[in-house]
Amino acid sequence: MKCDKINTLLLDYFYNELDEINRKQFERHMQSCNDCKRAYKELSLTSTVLKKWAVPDPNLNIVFVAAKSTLTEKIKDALHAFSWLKRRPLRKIAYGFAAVLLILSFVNFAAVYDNETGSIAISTSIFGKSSRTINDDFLMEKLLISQNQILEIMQENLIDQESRQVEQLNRFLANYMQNIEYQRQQDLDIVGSSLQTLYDFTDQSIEDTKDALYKDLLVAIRMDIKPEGEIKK
Amino acid sequence: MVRDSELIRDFLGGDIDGFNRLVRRWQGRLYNFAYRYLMDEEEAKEIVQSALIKTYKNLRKLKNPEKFSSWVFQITVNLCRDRLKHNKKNRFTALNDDILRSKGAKNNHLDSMEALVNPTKKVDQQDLVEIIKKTLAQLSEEHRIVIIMKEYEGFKFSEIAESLNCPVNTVKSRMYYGLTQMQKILKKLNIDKEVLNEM
Repeated sequence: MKCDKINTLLLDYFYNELDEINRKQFERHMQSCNDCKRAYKELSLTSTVLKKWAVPDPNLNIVFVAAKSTLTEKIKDALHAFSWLKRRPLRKIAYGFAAVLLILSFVNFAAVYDNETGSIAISTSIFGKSSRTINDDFLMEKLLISQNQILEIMQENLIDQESRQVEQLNRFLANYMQNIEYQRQQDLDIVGSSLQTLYDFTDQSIEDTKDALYKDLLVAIRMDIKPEGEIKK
Repeated sequence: MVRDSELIRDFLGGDIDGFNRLVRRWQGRLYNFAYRYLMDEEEAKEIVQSALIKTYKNLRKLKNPEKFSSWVFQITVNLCRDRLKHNKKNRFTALNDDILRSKGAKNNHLDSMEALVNPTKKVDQQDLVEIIKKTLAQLSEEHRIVIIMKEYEGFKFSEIAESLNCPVNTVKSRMYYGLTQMQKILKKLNIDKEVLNEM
């Protein structure tokens, strides 16, 4: 029968995954276990054979380049920061609350006014009639009204929350558009001033050239220098 | 050396160069793995490319950047598996056309390897590589994958378990079983220490 340490400890030992204590312990075991000794030899031979397979270098040169994002993508990215709006935790809470109320609506409430003690006893039961009956229609009406009020408040809260989110989004978009407009104006200013500088510079260059030519002409006239060669008419 | 987790942090902070440094660090290893697993140069290159693109897209989802190596290999392993499934014919029996045409592929497979180990001729490096390839091809996918990740990529058993999403002991049993199968084939072909020393 083969030693049960072969496919656990021997592998860990061979691939150097045992800590110092376990390694020494296993080495002691291997000295007296022929199964493990033989398995170790076979394992090292197979491992040596496998190592002979070297893969030629494929000369891979994969390079990732950051894509220039378009305006739409920028807006999408910016909106991504507002993704929490989509999750709407408050809405979830509100739904949860509504679910609780719905469950409660299945429950039969019974309220009894005790004339003697002057106290009101409320009892509940699910899907069944209460052992006590409700005689006080007024109390029932009150309960219904308060339930309706809670529902109304929740509804208002939801609408309010939604409108606040929309408002926030609109404000963000407006800011974003304002920034883009501001950037555009700045760019236009830069282009305008550059054009002006270029125009001034060109003007100046033409003036300078004219002056230089005029001076050269004067010198030539004074020194009576005539152009070489004939001027073709 | 800068840790992978630091490069990941740089990349997530908007520095594309951080990701390119990760690519330069890992593309070779991923290729070697994919090549040994699929045994096809072009397919391995495609897999590396796809794996890196997937890594680029999903790096934000990696919860623990310290486990990047297991994670990126998990992606590569899955892509390789998908590719193998996608390939209509079994690439590994196609290593030798004669085998495909003949009956009883397993025995003939061994025959084709025995032809490489001719007593009158010394086994050279190229013969041995062919034998290794064919021997690995005889193993099932799950055994082959563990052997490649351990022997060539030097992963710890726990890391392989993470990449393959299975218990460590399963990885060890697959490793042991796969190696035992290989040993049997090598023994039949008389590949021993002497043969290796003579090379």
